[in-house]
Amino acid sequence: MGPIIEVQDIHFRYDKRTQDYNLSGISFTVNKGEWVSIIGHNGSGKSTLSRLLVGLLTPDLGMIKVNGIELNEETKWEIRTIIGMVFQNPDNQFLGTTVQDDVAFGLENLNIPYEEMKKRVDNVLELVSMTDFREHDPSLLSGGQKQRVAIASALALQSQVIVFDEAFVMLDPKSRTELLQTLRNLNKHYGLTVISITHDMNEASNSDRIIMLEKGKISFIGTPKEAFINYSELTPPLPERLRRVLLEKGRKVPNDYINEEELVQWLWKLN
Amino acid sequence: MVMEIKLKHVSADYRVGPMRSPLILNNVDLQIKTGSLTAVVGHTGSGKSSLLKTMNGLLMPKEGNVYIGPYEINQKINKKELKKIRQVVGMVFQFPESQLFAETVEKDICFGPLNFGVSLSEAKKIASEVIELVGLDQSILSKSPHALSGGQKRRVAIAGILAMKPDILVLDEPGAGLDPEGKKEIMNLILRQNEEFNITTILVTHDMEDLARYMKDVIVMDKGKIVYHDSVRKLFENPKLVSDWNLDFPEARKLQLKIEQEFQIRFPSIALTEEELANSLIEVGLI
Amino acid sequence: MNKLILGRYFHGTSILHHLDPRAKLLAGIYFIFMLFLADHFYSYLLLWGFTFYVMYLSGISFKIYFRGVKPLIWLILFTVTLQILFTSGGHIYFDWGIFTISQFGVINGLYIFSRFVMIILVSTVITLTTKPMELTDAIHYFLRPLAIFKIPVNEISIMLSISLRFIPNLMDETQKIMDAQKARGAEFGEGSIFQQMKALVPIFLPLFSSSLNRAEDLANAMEIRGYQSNKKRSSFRRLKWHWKDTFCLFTLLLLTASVMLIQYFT
Repeated sequence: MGPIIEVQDIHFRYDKRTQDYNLSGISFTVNKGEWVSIIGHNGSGKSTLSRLLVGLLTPDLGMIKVNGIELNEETKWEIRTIIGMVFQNPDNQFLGTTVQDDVAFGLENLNIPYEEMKKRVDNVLELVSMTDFREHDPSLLSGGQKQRVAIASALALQSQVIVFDEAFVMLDPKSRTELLQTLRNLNKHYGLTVISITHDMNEASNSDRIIMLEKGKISFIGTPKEAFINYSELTPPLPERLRRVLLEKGRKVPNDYINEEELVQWLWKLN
Repeated sequence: MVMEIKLKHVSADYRVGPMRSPLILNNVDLQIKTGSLTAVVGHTGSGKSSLLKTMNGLLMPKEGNVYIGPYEINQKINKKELKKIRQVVGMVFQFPESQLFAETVEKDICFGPLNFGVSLSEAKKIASEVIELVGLDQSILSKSPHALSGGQKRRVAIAGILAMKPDILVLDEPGAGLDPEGKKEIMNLILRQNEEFNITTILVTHDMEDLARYMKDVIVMDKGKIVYHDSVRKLFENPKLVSDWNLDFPEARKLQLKIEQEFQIRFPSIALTEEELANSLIEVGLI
Repeated sequence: MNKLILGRYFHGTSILHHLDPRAKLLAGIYFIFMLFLADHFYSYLLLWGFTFYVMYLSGISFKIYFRGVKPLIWLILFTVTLQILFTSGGHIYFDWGIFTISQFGVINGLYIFSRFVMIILVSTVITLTTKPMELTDAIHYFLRPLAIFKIPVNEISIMLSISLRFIPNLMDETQKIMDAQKARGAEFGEGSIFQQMKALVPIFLPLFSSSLNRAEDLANAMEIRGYQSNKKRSSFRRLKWHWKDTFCLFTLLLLTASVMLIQYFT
C-alpha cells in the first residue's frame, strides 16, 4: 500500500518557448488520510502545482502517480475519480441549477444509472450536511455552502483525495470555520486525504505536513512545528506568537514552538 | 473641510421588479465626526452595505434624510448636487478590481477625475501622485490592468477613488480575498489616509482580528438598525452583546476567555492582541 | 427589464404547472402552427376561446398576461394598420389615393392582430407555468435524436442550463459594476445616443472579462468532474410523462378537428 500521491521530479513551464520553468524539481509523496498544506507567496507556483495534480496541465518533465497509476492523457479520466478539486470561486464551479443537480453532474458524466446516482447524491449531501438544501438554487446559498456542495461533488465520484486551491479565501470567517470543521470531520472519520493550498497559517498549523514553495521550487517539507521554528517570516498561530512576545519580555517560556494545548499545559505546570 | 455624516430617521428598501423588499434600513440615526475612523460590523443581511450606499445616494432613503457635510440627500435632490456628493464621498466596493476597464492603469485612474470635470493633464498628474500613495511604482501606469496581480489590481482600484480627492472614504471589506500580507498593506494604506489627510473613513468588515487590531470605533448593525456605536474595546468587554448580535471575539480574547475558564480567574482587562494578552498574563501573575 | 413578463416563471399549483414541459412545448408549437392555418372567423373565435381557457387554467391573473402584451402593442397595431390600409378585396369602405379600407383588409387585419396576440399569450402561458430548467430539459429531450447528425446536443443543453443558472449572477454583477462606476461619477442614460453608448463601456468591458474568467473556471470544473464531449451521459433530471400530458395533446387534436370541421362546413 504505497502513498496515494507520488510526485517525481516534475518540471513545468507555461511558456514553452523559454527554458524558464515555473516549477522545477518538485518531488514529494502524500499518504492516504494525510492533511497536507501547500504554502508560498503568490507566484511561487502553488496553483500550477494543483493543476498538475489533477491533470489540467501536463508536466514537461517528471511524473505524477495517483494510487500507483501514472497520470497521463489516457489515465487522467480514471484518475479524476480518485482525485478531485475545489477551486477558489464558489460560484464559478457550481454547474447545476440546484444543489443536487450540481452534485449529480459528475455522475452523469460517468453515465451512472439513475438509481445509483440518487443513492450517491443522498449519501454525500449527508456527509457535508447539505441535505436540507438539496433543491436550493445557488443564489440562495452562502459561499461556504457552495464550497460544501463542491466537496460533495468530488465525494460523489468517490474521490479519495481532494485538492483545495485557496478554497477558503473568498469566504467570510464564519463560513471558513464551518467549512474547515466539515473537512476535518471528513479527514478524521472518513479518511479523506486533503491537499490544501492556503495562506491561512492557522489552518496550516493544524495539518500533518507543510510543503513550502518558493519561486517554483520546494523550499521546505516537514511538520508545521518545524516550519514555524525554521522560518521566521511565517506568521505562526496565536499561542506561538504569544510565546514569542513573552520571550521578548524576558519571561520564562518554553524554548520550543507550542500550540494551544501545550500552552495551557505549561501554564498549569507553572502555577 | 468639515465633513460630518448624519443620518436622521433613515429608512430604505429596494425595488425588485414590481415588488418592494422589506425595509433594509429601519429608522437609522447616525452621526459620524469629521476625520474619524469607524468600522461597521454585523451579520449578513443586517444592512451594512446598504448603510454605505445611502452615503452617496446609490440608495435613496424612503424616509428621513442623509447629510453629507453641507449637502442633503433625499428623494428631491437634483443631479448636480448628487454628482458633487459622489466626488466628496469616495466609495470602494468589495472586490473593486472587478470594475477596472480601461486600456491602461493611468486611464482607469483618470476616469473618476475626468467625470468630475478635471482636465486631462491635471488628471494625469493626480494619477501619478495616487499611484505612489497606494504603494505602486510609476511604471504601472502604462500597463494594462489585466497584467497585474490581484493585490496590485485592488490597489489600482483604490487609487482610482483616491484620485477623486474625496473628503470621505467608504470601504466595503477592503481586505476581502487577499493574503495576510496584502491585507495588512491595504489596511495600513487606509489608516495612513485617515491620519495624514484627516479623511473621514468608514469601513465594513467581517474580520474581528482587523477590528481588534486597527479600529477604535465600531457601529454594529442588526436587522436594519444600528444597535451599537461606541468603542471596539467596550464591545468586546461585553460577551452578551457579542453573542446577541452574532459576532465573534478576536483570537486573543478567545484564548484569554479559555484561560479564565481553565484557571478560574478573572483578568482585570481584556486582551485583543497577543501583546495585550502577554501583559495581562503577567499582570495576574500567571507568568 | 423588470417589465418583461414573457420568459419569467410564476410560481403556482395549477394543472398547467404540473404538466410535463414536453407536452407544453409541443402543444405551444402546434397551436402556433394552427394559428397560421386558421382561415375563418369562427375558427379564430374558437382559438380565442381556447387561449382564454388556457390562460384561466394557469391560475394567473389576466392582468399579468396583458401586461406582457403591452410592450409589443405598437408593433402589432402598426402591422395591423398597414394591413388594413393597403389590402383590398371585397366591399370597399373607404378609398383615398393609395389607402384602401376594404372588407378583406379589415378582416385580415383582425386575423393578424389575433395571431400576434395569441402567440404572445400562449407563449407567456408556457413560460409562466414552466420552470426554465424544465424547458431546457424538454428541449434537450427533443434535440437528443439529432446527435446522429453529429450535432453537439450535450453541449447545447449544458450551454442552455449553465446560462440560465448564471442569469442572476450576471444581473447582480451588472448592478454592482453600475454602482461602482456611478460612484466614480459616471452617468447613464444622459446625452446623445453616442454618449449613452460610450457610457456603457465601463459596464460592458468588466462584465465581459469577468465572463471570460468565469468561462475558463467553469471549463476547468467540468473537466475535473469528468465531462467529455461525445461521451454518453446519463441524466439525473428525469421527466415523467403522465396521462394528463397525453390528454393535453389530445385536446389539441380535438381543437384541430373542430377547426377543420368549421372550415369545411362554411
